[in-house]
Amino acid sequence: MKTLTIALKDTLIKFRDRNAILLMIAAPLLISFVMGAAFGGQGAAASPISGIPLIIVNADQGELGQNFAEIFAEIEVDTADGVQPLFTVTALTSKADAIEQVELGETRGAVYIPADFSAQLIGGGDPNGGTTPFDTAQGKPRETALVEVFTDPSATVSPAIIRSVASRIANGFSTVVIGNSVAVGQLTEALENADAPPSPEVIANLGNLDEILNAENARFGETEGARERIRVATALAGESEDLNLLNYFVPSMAIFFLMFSVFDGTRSILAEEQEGTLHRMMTTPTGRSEILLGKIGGTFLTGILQFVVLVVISGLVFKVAWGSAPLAMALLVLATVAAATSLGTFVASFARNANQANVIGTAVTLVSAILGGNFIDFRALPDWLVPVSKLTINRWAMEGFFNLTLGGLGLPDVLPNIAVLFGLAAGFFVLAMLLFNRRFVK
Amino acid sequence: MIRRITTIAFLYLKTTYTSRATLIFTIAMPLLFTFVLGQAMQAGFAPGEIPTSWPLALVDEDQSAWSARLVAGLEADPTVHAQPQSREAALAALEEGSLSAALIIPAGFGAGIEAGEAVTVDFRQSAEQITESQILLEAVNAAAARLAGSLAAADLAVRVADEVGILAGATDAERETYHAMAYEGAENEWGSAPPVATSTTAVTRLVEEAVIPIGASQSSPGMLVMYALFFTFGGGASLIVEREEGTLRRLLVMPLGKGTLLAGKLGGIFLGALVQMAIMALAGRFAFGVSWGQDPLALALMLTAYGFAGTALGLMVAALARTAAQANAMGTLSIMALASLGGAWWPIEIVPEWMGNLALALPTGWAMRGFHDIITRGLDTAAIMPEVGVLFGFGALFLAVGVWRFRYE
Repeated sequence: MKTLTIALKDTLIKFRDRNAILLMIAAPLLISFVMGAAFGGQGAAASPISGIPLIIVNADQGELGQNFAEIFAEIEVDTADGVQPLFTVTALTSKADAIEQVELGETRGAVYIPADFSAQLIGGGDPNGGTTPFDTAQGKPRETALVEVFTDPSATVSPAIIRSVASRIANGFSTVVIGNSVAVGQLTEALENADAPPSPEVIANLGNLDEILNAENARFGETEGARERIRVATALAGESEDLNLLNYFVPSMAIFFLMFSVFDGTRSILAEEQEGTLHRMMTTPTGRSEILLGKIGGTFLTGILQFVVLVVISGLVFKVAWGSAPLAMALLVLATVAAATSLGTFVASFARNANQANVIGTAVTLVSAILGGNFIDFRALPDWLVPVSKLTINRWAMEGFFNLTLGGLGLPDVLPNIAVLFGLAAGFFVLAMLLFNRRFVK
Repeated sequence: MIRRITTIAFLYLKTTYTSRATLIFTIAMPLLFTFVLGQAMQAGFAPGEIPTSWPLALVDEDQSAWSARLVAGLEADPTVHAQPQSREAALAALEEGSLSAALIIPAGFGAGIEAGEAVTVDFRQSAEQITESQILLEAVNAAAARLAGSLAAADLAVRVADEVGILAGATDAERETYHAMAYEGAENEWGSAPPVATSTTAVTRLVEEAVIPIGASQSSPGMLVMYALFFTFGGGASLIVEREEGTLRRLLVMPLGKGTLLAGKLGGIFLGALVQMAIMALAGRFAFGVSWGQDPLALALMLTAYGFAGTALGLMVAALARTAAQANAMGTLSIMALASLGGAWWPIEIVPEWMGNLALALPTGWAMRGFHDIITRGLDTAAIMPEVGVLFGFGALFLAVGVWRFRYE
């Protein structure tokens, strides 16, 4: 009974402390929001990159270089904020300036279309060659027109995208040239190998070959030609197309800041010891263990309340889906808070004073957070760090919450996590009680 | 007066760096974070080289010559690390998030192509790793366009032959042979001399052929930027503790001006932050293989400017907070917000435009910009002067507010 009174009083004090509320409630919500916004755009749904800054230098005199450049500006991508251009294109006239801009990090990449781009494609470099666009069949051996791409090494994603898109556009141009070349080449070969001489009608048509090619190429352009043949259909994996990334970040940050507040709570035992209030309480008829359990119980209760408030607010404001298994969720919250509280009590039980408990506690919080995956995707850890990661409360708790929030799983799937967390809670609690017992008896 | 300021500064430096707690939180913790974050960020990428490759689950349910051609095209792409597997395995890996994307080539793909129909391949993206999968999508688009390009060339050859009239009266088999030969011709032309090719160069002014470790080159400056603030905010909080305990007042009894006292303390915090950042940069260079640039003067200027801005910010927070507990709570929250918004936790290129602009309103955003200029772009002193100037500007502003609002008792 007295234990409960002490616990309730401590909880109440905590929730009246504006600074504590800042760290317990505001901080995890704010930081998760920033994370969600960074990775997901508005509404925090997963969203691809758009508006990649790109410089295009078109040194070509002809029409084709212009076409090549225009395609970059026309490519669009479906983001969380609607359809957006994939690139934000700036035109420059000097290749050296463009490279400098990339080097200085003012843009993510630059594309250089060479001076003779159109000329090389039309007529294959042969001054006496055909006049038909792309008519390379009659010219000299074709030279490759080289489009140069320069990328910013400090970026990781956009260079790969710029390179692939440039190569896709180049392939589109190549397709047209090769198409004409093959059409004419194949025709010539067929005529040469034919058993009978061509009919007068065929001979007449051959005179109009350029026109026929132009007409067919125009048809090719209208139907988007090559892209018609193989279509790449895209779909997001998972049940929901609007995955809310905050489903991931809010549990992460809730656990991280939970550790801070429960460690702060258990540390207060030492503060009271130093200030003498603990010993004064012990002179009252209230038993020593009742006082201790009251303090620990208060921390536990504060942690539970903190988590519940975070679940409710994040559910209402950020629409975080906390899963459809309330019993599993409740048990997991209890197990997580119990494990964290016990660990905090254990740290307090062997620390010399509140200051030392603060140092050790903060260090444990930070190490657990980075190894347990509060700041990274724990699946991205190298293999040899995985066992180390599994030593942390954070890892077991996070995995459990993700199974419920992201995986939509139920109690049986998170039972191992709950069991491990309660096990850790019991272990640390027993150790802490033994140490406290020795501490206060002497 | 200068001597007094120096004495107070060195006294602060000595008391801080002889405390075990400082060593844990100033040196050990940031190095651990740099290492683990670096490892985790590196995980999506092949070690070392650029271009890097990204794993793509490849499900070939068609198993025809045509699907094999598409697969071969993907395997030739340096950005793709193709991993053939069953549909079930691929979908499970996507669901679980261990792969960012899967390409499913459905049964009937080859038959559809032979029949001259438009065929569809199925690209599944993991919603959790949308940016990685975007790279793979572009690679798949390029490979599909290449295959479709040869097909379109062969289609064109057949249509031209029809127009000319040489296929008049040909059997279906003869038309197919004509198409197939045209396709082979197109493939040969792709192989020997594609009319348009692209070359990609990552341009940097780094002279040494540094292999840029993608993970650590982000986490090394990132954690330096974040943990320097922990140090300077801690310094600011220590002023409040001294005020609460009355030692500040006691010091003021001595023949020291308020200004001298504050300047000494701030000098100590600034020097301490410089020591910390220098250790971080050295560890980044020698333990994590991050280049940290080729212009020591540029690096020194950046560290000085950021150290100044951080120290002044620590003072401002201390001046605005009423108690040490409040400074602590406000500090932790603002450091995490400043670090994440400024691009210390993840590359700023991946965030939406408005967040990228927001980073330029923060000292952390300018610091990361300057450090990236030095580390990955190998720029020199002249190029980072804007960043240095902005950081000093931030510092002057914070210092003015801090000095104005700071109460000694």
